[in-house]
Amino acid sequence: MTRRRPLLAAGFLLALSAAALLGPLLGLRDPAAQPDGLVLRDLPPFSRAEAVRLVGEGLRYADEIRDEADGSVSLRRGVSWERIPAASLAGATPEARRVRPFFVLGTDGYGRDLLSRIVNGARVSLLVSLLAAGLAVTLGAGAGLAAGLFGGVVDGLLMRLTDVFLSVPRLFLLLLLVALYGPSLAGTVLVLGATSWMAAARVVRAEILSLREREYVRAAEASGASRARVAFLHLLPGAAAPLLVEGTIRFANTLLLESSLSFLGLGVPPPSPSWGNLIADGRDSLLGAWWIATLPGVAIAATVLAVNALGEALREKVEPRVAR
Amino acid sequence: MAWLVARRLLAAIPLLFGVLTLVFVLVESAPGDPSGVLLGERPVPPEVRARIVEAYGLDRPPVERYLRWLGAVTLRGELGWSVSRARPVTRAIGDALPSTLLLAGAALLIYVIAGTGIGVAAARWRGRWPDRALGGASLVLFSMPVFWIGLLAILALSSGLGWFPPGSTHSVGADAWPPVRRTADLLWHLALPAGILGLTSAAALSRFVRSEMLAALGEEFVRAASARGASGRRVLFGHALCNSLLPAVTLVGMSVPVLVSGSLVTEVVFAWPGMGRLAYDAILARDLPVVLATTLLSSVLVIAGNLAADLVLAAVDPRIRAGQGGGAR
Repeated sequence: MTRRRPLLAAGFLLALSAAALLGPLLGLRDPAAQPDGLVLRDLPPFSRAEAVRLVGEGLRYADEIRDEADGSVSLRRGVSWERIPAASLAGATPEARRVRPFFVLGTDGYGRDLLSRIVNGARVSLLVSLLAAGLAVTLGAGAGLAAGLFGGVVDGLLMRLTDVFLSVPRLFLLLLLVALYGPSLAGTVLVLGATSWMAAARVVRAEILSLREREYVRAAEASGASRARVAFLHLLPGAAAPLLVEGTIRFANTLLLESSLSFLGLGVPPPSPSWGNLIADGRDSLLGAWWIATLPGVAIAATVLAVNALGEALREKVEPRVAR
Repeated sequence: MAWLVARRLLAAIPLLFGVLTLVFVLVESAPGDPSGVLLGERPVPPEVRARIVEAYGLDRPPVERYLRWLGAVTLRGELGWSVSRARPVTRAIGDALPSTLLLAGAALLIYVIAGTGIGVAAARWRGRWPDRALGGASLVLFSMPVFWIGLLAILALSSGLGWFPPGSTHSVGADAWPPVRRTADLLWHLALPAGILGLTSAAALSRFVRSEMLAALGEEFVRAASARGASGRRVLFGHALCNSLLPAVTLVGMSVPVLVSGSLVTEVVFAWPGMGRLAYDAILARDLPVVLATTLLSSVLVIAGNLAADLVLAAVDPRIRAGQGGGAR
């Protein structure tokens, strides 16, 4: 059970990333396409739509289809009926020209396929969180390394800076930054990364302080290795494992923060919607069409859960003494 | 003890100045003309802009502006004028703060009770089904965005079952009700947002309490108590829990920023008229002084929370009072 969980989590994340990258190749619909804003509006999960095949230009959706005696069909769209002559229909028999497209997760208020939108949202959400977590870990490692190596005033200043950043609730700080710089994709990455480096800084600093006293580091120093060589060749690799754990946790955390920010409309701006944007979209029709807001949240929760499970497994590898 | 309180209070002051400086640097480094930031993006006649530049000293060097601003905020409590609410920022915040304190306070209470309770229960039944069920449930809850759980709760518990109101702090017409009924109405409106905010954050605390409890249960003095024939309950609560709670106090203090951040989205989801909602509305209205003030005040809450945790620790842990450190292992 415990052994299988990280594997399961890694498998899920890989599959999700693959789907996000290869979306169109998997036969998913275009996430931005609005084939029919009237008929396909707010279809619940597992629904089939009714449509007839037209000559040349694809499908005509309808709420109800009636085959007429002369070979034409009558379509009911909303409250009005329209007639399509036999000449513009593709397929000779009534069976051949009828299609019933299937929407696994239903559609949103514009008739867009929710599954494609969630898979497409994964691309934005995962990319933003990954980059932001990477930035946070890099910044934190730099600050922690500097603090641990130089000590004294540098250490004091950097650690006070860490305390100050930790004193401002993350979301308020993010809101302030967005208010000042305006929402954008790159901005979201920068802002999330620049406000999440503190834990990594503390982790790296603590590691450096303990590693500096080790024999092998002293030996390297005694044999005349330069300061930079000791730092990057001997100290930083020693801190890599806890840093990786911290990076994983940060990734999960950033994913949640990004979704909050996007939900508030202050994260990744449309038209490339992240999962938070999707939930925000569905909020207004929550009571009428519950699936639009709830299903992207399932994707967030599952992903964060998987990343946390991975982080947990990594942590157990790195710190075997953690009580289980 | 008084000496310790004074020392901790003094230590919080540089932190406050740090936050003020950070906010100032962020605003200064933002693109665009600071008077534009102050005025929003409204078209303003040049002479008005000049007056504003003059009044706020925007033509002065940054250091002078920094000192002036610092003086205005800390000495006179001046936070500026809120354009969107058409009142001083201090008044706008004063109107919103009680709601936030109520929400965050109730959430903190639920957080502590649920976190400790779940942690103790998990440790008590270690490895058996309650441990695994509680551990799994808190992990899942921990992985969900707060605003999304809020939406689900509104969907299921308010509009579905009708048990709770979907938002706001009071029912329509509650002003005219007698105090008892009004309080009950307030608690009824508070239950969902505070419960969700508290429970989603409780996972971290419960896991911490669980591992502390397990560590404590393995220690000599606890095993000695069992060996002396103390009842299971007494060992669990009297010996193990008391010693696990000490480090947990620090964690509770550290979780204040999480609760304050969480209250922001919770307030937006549940239309709760607090500080987070104020900050959010201010951003949409490009009302920067309010955003600045809420950021500062939320940091004050965090610093106060950490301070309170420190003082609670000092009050219950004689080692800290004696100045030996310890406690927070």
